[in-house]
Amino acid sequence: MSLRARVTAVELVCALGMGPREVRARLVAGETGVVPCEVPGSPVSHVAPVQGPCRPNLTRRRDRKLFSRSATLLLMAAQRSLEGWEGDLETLGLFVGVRREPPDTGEADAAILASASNGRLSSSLLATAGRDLYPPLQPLRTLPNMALAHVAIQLGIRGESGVSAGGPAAGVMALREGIAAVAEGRCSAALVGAADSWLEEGSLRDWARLGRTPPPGEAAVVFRIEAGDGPAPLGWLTRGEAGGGGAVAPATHWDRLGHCGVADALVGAVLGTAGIRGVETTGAWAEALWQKE
Amino acid sequence: MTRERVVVTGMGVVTPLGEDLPSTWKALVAGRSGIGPIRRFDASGFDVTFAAEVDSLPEEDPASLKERLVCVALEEAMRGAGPLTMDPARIGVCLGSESARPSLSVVARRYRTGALPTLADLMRNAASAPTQAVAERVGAKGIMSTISTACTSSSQAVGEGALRLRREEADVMIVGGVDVLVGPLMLTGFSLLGALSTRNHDPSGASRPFDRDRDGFVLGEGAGILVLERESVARSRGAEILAEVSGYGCSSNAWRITDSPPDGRGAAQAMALALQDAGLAPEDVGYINAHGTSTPMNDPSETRGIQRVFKGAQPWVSSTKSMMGHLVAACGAVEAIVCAQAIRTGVLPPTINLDHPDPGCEMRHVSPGAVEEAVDHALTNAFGFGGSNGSLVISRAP
Repeated sequence: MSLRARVTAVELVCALGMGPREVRARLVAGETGVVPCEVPGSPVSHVAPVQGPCRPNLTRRRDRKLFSRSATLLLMAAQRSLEGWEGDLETLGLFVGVRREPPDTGEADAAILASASNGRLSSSLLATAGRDLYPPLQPLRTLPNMALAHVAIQLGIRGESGVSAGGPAAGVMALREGIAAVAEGRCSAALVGAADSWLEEGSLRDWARLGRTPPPGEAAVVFRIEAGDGPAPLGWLTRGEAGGGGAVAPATHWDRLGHCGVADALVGAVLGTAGIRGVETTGAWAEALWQKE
Repeated sequence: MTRERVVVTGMGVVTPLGEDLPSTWKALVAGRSGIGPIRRFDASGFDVTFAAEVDSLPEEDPASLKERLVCVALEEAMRGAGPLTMDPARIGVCLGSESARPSLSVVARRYRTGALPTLADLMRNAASAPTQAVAERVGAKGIMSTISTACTSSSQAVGEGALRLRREEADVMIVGGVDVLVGPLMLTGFSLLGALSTRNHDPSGASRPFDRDRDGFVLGEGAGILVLERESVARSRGAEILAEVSGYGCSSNAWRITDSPPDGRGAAQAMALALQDAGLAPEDVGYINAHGTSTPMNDPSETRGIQRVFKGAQPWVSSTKSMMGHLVAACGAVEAIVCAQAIRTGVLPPTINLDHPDPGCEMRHVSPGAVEEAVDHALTNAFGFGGSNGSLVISRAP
């Protein structure tokens, strides 16, 4: 089927700033967001963190303690993508690619340690001493759909939604679903994208264990998609080449922005730096977008 | 433009009531509870001491159990569907799943020795691991994805699978979901949240959706798999058509992380979209398999949502979580299969333990026992933490 959807806003939050224009300008100027890792005992030497304060506007401030880093980045990008937009939030879709779950940031450590006896964990101790120290919000914080939930709640987005989870292709799958939802008329418009952060201690360990060589980074990418004609919004997504895992080829932005995990393919698509296997139109699409701006 | 139907040609489940659809269905119709004291570990000191468990093997960790459950359900579904002889690139997989929580012994080892999780651990625990396992078993090489929206995951996986077939991105989609949550850490976490029933003296009476005395949900686990295909594909290969996935809708509450809006607006939106997608009017639906978690907040909110959409229409409503517990990421797929089975058999499974219906949950309940009634269309709801809502319409085989 022929899809008719267009990109009307692109937002990006990453190690070289906010917004594709700023990030691209700094890339062109030869800047890098990769810095030495200061986490003691880290198995990786360099990382690419988002610099400066990350403080999105919150309508429900009490939820702040539930925010993972990637949820914070996603909300910032989503807020920026809706600036000046006056569409209907009730029919605005939201489709997000996320990693398996927010990383373990050690919040349950005290409970686990209190549940140990002679170096072994005991379920009976967990039921007593451990229980009293267990963070009650932990199960919610670690659900993969929390990033989407926070964005929906904070911005009042109530249309169709979905969370693709897992490997590097999850961001691409989310984009695909969002484009289809708009093109098929199931949403009046949609925010689609991905967010990931590999900079917490647990994630750095996992990064090393996965044997990945680029510096780990963090990013959120949000596309606002609306019905109609415009720059071909990744038309290749409708054909299925990006299905499955491992669709992402080596990208040239890794030495400046780090590898942004689930968001990486979309970072590359925005900046025109990524090649996606079997796809030749990505760069052309990005160029069209820049010309339009 | 006429839209081709998406049909179901295979169904398989593993639930706390049985390791296949016939045994699960028999228990559901009989109103038998699968909820009991936790057997997997010593839970005697916990705030909550019961759950809806499947049988597990000694020392079986959550990731292994998830893979086994999804493969058992897949096997049953594939037996029904028959050989899939088309190009493997035209067979896709879309499952609802969350990452497996490491077992207590793995967590203990990590803390004791400082050992990093192995690469194999990371891969096995990933949310997408069951999707990969199913694809490998079936030899599927088409579009593949994993949806993680908590309790809505597999409802959305079924819906997204149907959409992909309509878009002709695949000829067959294996869809469904799996979850395994009964473990010491999750039990501790969810009970501290106040989400679980604490009716330790009466496990089989603990899940009581829409009842005045309900006090929380019961952790469950299981898997459900459906084989979906376009009607023309199913007919060309002579497959038996069991049901149709005729409608799908989803929405976000944009309300709160743990609660649903009291007016049921997000739920209503998902149901209305599913009906619209199916081209049906509310009075066409004869049965609703409600999300019905038995929590103080969900049940009246869902009731409001149903009342908003169905108004004067009076479909039968039941929550099979009263018997199976809450299968979380697997519940949407399993309950879609329950709907298909209800249509096929003309029997609607009951809500058990509905001894004192909550006046705030007034509906046409299937209770206390099953009801024999032929229905052509059934709707099933799944609503997740964080406010994700999904509704599916399942219809009689064309």
